[in-house]
Amino acid sequence: MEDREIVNEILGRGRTRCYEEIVRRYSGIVFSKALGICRGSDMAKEITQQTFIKAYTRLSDWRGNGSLAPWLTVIAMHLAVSALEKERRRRTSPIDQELPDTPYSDDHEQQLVQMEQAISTLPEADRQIIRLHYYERCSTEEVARRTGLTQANVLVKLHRIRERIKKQMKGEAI
Amino acid sequence: MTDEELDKMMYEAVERIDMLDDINRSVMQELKGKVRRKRSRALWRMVLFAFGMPLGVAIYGYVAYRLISIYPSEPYFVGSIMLSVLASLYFIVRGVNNFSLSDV
Repeated sequence: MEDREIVNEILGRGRTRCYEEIVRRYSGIVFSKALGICRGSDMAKEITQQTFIKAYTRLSDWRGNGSLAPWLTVIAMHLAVSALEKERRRRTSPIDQELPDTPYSDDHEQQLVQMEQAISTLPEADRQIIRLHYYERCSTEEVARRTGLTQANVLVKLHRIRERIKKQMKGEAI
Repeated sequence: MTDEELDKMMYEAVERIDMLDDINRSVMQELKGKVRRKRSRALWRMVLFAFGMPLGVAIYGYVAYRLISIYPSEPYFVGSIMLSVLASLYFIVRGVNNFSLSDV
């Protein structure tokens, strides 16, 4: 479904539930943009939430026909800049002194977005294996136990998933 | 990209996906709450409009009628009461025409 169709559903028929699709589609992009300005994930998270809420209340102002992304990005940028301004006025010490440990970089962020997209294209079972092994730091034995597969099967699957993700990160067709 | 970097990035990506899910959930929760509140305000507004306004008009009309019947021989007084009744009717009709449930 195109963004315009979803917006028409929300505005015309009052279907708030449809907005979930918009949020799901663009929260990554909006978060990245907010993070690029704020450089702190807590603030970026807050800005992302505010962006979608503000966008919903002003949805009738959107005149575009293509993607909502540019419009949402502009809202996020405005919100991020004003949040930073507020923060700067509130603090006595400069914000730069309290930057997070991992410095932000556009390249890294771009790669991360690519990685998210690559992971989201995986089947649910594969995503579960990735989550268990890379995020929850489970051993292959533990992954096998929790997914009901054999350990050898988990190892093969992990290898295939890695190869698939590597290819996608390089922009190769699968 | 080395294997180690890939591992780290996969960890970060899964973490980010979780966080975005969390954002999506809280945005939708807040929006649903807002819509619910808006609907309930609209309902109250409709109830007020449907019952409150006729009640106000009835009380106002009764008071005007009583005043006119107490002082029937004062043409200026009766005239001013009638004028105020007409003015009120004008505003009531305008209010009815402009009434909108969505405009809460």
